[in-house]
Amino acid sequence: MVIDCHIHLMPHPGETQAQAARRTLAAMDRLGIDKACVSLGDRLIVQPNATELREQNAWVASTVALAPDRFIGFVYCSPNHPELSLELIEEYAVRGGFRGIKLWVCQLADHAGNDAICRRAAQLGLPVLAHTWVKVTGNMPTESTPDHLVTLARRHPDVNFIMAHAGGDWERGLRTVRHVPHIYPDTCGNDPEAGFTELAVALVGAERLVFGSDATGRSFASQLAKVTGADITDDQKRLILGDNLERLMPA
Amino acid sequence: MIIDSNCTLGPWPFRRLRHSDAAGLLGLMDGLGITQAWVGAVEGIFYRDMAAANEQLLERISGHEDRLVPWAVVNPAFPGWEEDLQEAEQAGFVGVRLYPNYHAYDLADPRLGDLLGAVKALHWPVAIYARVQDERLHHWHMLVPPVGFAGLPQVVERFPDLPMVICGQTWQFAQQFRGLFAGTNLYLDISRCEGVAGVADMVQAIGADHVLFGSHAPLFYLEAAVLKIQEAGLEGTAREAILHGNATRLLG
Repeated sequence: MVIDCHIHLMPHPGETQAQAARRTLAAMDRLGIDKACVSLGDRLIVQPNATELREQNAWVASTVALAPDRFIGFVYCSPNHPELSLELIEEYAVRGGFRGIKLWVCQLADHAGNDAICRRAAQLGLPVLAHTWVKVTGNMPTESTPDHLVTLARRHPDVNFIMAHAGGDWERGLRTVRHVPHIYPDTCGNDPEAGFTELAVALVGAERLVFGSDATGRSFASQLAKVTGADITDDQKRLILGDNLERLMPA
Repeated sequence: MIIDSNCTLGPWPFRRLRHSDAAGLLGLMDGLGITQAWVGAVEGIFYRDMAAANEQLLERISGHEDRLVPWAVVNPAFPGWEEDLQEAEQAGFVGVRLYPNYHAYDLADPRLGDLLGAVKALHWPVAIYARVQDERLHHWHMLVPPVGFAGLPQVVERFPDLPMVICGQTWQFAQQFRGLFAGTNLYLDISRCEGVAGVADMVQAIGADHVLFGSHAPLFYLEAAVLKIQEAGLEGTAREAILHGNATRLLG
């Protein structure tokens, strides 16, 4: 079972949601990707207001409804709107079958507004997929680095965090979280630079690395190749490509 | 048959690579059914002395010239490039690679025009590298901006028949410059073509006859380019053109 922990369904100009979903599923079929976790919405909104946060989650729900056996929803939460985020978790995870939480770039990960979200994630056993990047060209002011995620994770030792993009600067990100066992780096969101997966397995272990693509902006292929093209064992590839994520998400 | 139009050999200065010598690259190629790879010297990106970089490449591929086809790196903004090009021709290279951002010139630079004229006279192809590495991941004290392509239409207009490959561009770039490709020898490689089935979008924009299989190995996982072709769902003549037909035609 191959499960992608990290996609966003964002149509091309003029393309409908259903067309984008079909195009995405066709690409997954060609590469043997069984399921994909969908988050955010139909576009990137750096600082979503309450209305936009509702709309973006509704977009993901309607995406999942197009192929419920293939798409898994993650609830897009915002520390700027903690009460609304808790409502959205009830609506989409407790009653709607979403199996994770997504945090993006509206605030740094260690923002206090994330605490209520993480406490509820712990109660429900939901993994929290959190954006991280370290850009030598400069992060956005509210864009988290792996250090911000480590701070949040230490406040919530009973939550499993998926560190999106392995910190972007993956050689730094992997080392930053090496000794924080409930942070799971994902594989996605940068070029398929050789050595990534081998280093991740060496530093955090195959049991803590999770396949993700960051499609539809990224190619499934370029991110999948980081795992299938790595010099690691087939058992390690199976863990990374799906077994680890299946273990992290509630049934 | 697959020809990889975008490989390099030599130690990358910022990270240990597992397959940066001839044996390593050939091992990767064998595992993925790659027949031939066009290679350039990593040192050509960073050295001042291009002749030395190109000489190192020839030493590395010695005995494997049937599968590792050498392209010379030339810097038109550095004195003596004419001699570097002449030496490359005599030494058995087949084309020229350019790194305008690392070598600090742009597409409007008249020295580039002089070089392209000389390359055309040799009936050689030229490859222009848009990016070697994502700028966000550059070394803290070596920030190299991407190549600007605003001057590309003028270059293509001046050298319409010159076989020219732009390495490391996207399907969005293909859409932006789609009007330039018809009737020219202009190509894009797929090494940094992203998006869901992005290669199919690139083909839709400029036609399969202008797209080359290129992996950017060993800096990138070679398998990524193979899977991109699979992801795009291309079949028949379009697939064959990208995998080897265009490359074969390009080298004449």
